[in-house]
Amino acid sequence: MKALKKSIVACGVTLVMCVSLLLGTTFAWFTDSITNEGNRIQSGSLKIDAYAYDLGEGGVSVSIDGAPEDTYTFAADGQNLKTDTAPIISGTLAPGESSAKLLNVSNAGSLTAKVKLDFAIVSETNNISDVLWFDFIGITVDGNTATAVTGEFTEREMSQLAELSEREFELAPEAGMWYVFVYGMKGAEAGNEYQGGEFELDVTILAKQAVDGAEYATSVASSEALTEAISEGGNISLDGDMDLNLEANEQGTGENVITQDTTIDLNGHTLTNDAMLASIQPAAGVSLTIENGSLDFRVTENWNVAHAYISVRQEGSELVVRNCDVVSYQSFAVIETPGNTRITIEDSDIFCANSVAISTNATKSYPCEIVIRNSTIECGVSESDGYQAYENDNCAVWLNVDGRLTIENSTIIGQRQGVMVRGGEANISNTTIICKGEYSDFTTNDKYVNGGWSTGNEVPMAALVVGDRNESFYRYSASVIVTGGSIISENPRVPAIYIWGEDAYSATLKYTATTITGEIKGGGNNTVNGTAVTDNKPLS
Amino acid sequence: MSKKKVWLAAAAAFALALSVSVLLLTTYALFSDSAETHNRLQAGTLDIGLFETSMTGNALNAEGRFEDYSEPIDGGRRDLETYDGNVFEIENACPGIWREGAFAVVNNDSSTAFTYSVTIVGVEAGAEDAEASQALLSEIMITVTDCEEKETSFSLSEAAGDEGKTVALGEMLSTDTEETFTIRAEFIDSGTAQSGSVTFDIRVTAVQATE
Repeated sequence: MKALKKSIVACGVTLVMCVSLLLGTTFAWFTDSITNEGNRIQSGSLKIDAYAYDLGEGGVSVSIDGAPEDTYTFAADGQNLKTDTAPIISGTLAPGESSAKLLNVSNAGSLTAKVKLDFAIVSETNNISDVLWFDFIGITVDGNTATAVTGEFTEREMSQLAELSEREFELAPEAGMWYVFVYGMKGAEAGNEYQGGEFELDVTILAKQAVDGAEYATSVASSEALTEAISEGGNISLDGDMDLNLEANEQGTGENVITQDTTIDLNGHTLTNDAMLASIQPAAGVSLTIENGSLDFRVTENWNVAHAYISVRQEGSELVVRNCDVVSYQSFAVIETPGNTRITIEDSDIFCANSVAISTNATKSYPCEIVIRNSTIECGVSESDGYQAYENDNCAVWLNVDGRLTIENSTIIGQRQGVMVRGGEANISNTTIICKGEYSDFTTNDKYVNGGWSTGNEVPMAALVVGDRNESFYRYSASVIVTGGSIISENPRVPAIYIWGEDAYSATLKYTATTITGEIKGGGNNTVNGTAVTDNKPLS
Repeated sequence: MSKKKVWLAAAAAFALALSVSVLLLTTYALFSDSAETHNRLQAGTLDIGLFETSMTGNALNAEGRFEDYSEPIDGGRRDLETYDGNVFEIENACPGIWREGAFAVVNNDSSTAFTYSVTIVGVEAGAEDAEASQALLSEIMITVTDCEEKETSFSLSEAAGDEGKTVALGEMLSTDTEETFTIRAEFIDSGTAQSGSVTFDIRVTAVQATE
């Protein structure tokens, strides 16, 4: 019995040991997964090539019944109208004289395109158009031989050019179309009063995708044309550098309201805004997109931060800035009341010489969203002229209402703060946030570390500021999730993160796989990764 | 005592001593007894299947116009555990193009309840025309709809990164047979994304439910 007892005891010990081992181990639950790899989406392209050929040798040859010349032969090499903007028609004409140009438009993209040629008379003197004529003849070309001529030759009045702009052609990928533009001066009707007259004509080749809902872009070559195009909305393409030509008023809010959904393709050009105290704003429910070029907004008469160049302040309105280089001496874009508004910044570089580049601005809450992707946003001193509105005093991006902020794959740099979330929710991923810590007034900084905060970025310095400490304004909880990326303070006297929550409005920060360079400071009702930060001793 | 008796006594003592020595040098096999029961612990299973049941949307026809698109699937179900192809394969896409795949998560007699989720992972911008491909990531919107019609939308750029983007789809009991969900991919805007390309993986994961 003694021996049996001993065995049972030994087994009991073994069992206890096994259970202990289990209690000390992390469970790996049963899992299963199935993956479908390599899903792929390839985008097509809409691309038009256009060439103009002078009369010459070695190129296409065509006979047009009734035309002034029996045969027109053109040069083998043409002028690429996408890269060479020189006039295709220049020179002088005497009564009875004529000339011709060969135009070729082809679809170099992968999507079927609709094409139209927009003829616009720019200017004329001495009523010269009264004695000019033209015709626009379609031909089919095989090699250097025109195999067919469409229509009959007719000397048409220049006033009929506008009708040409209403014609629309469809081009499948790799397809092309040829036209002979014949023009001349009438004989007997061209009296001496027309001598020295000049005639300028712009020809724009427009293309759009051949699907319902696609729109042609309106090409504009002047500020006046841009203003008119904006008033009508739609797709606008700049044909050169120009100014926005805004109206200003003494209050600084301007009356430049975009009333229709509008996309301004800068087309590689620069848009300036030289108007003092003027901003643009999309109307209620309107979307304004600016893309593919440079915005150079350098008004140096300083406004209040409330007056950004682009004010998204009407219900349901939206601003999208995509693939742009921006220099902004005032706040660039701000969301203001009443709400359901959105700012999206993608694939852009924004430099701002004022207190904030992108922000909300209000003392009461409203639903809104700021989305920043694949962009660099920096506040600092202008390298070109040393301008800065507030000496080293800026926070590049801030959210101070109960809205949403999303930042992905971006770099945000400020001299006093980098990103501030005083309320709402922020989701920041794969992003570098830098505070240079160059704001020199540490006495003021310590005031906010040790007591209530003021408005704007009158809060403690840090690369990332979360929460609020103001008894009157910004009474919202703040929740920030940071995934990957870095939060960096470049000044050892400035923390990387500062967080403070009020009793009724918590401040929460969760970060995962994020490199933190600098201290984490704060207090009040807060948690950072589930643990309250209580160290509020100033580093300065 | 006679010599013999002494010898016997000595021998006995020696034997005793020897026995004692042997015993001292030996591991005792104590009296013992035992009772045995045959116990058996068999692990349960968690095994799911994933099937594509439809792929619809639109496409450009030969004239470059939108037309409805529907992909034929043999038997109405495609086993994605053994399928070598891609669920989403869209060429020459343009703004307005969309495709929606419907899927069934099948419970292969799992003995445990489990939660299941779908992850868009392995998101990559094409190396050729890298700038356009990178821009395309922001222009492809993914919408996941679970069996209760709850939608979660995000761009492919939001799913970039090692962890991808995971959408929880729900829970299945061991007695449930299958649940469905959909994934929609839509090209929402042009931006600078012409002639770009993006790739991504779709992973469905089941995890034993702990409560």
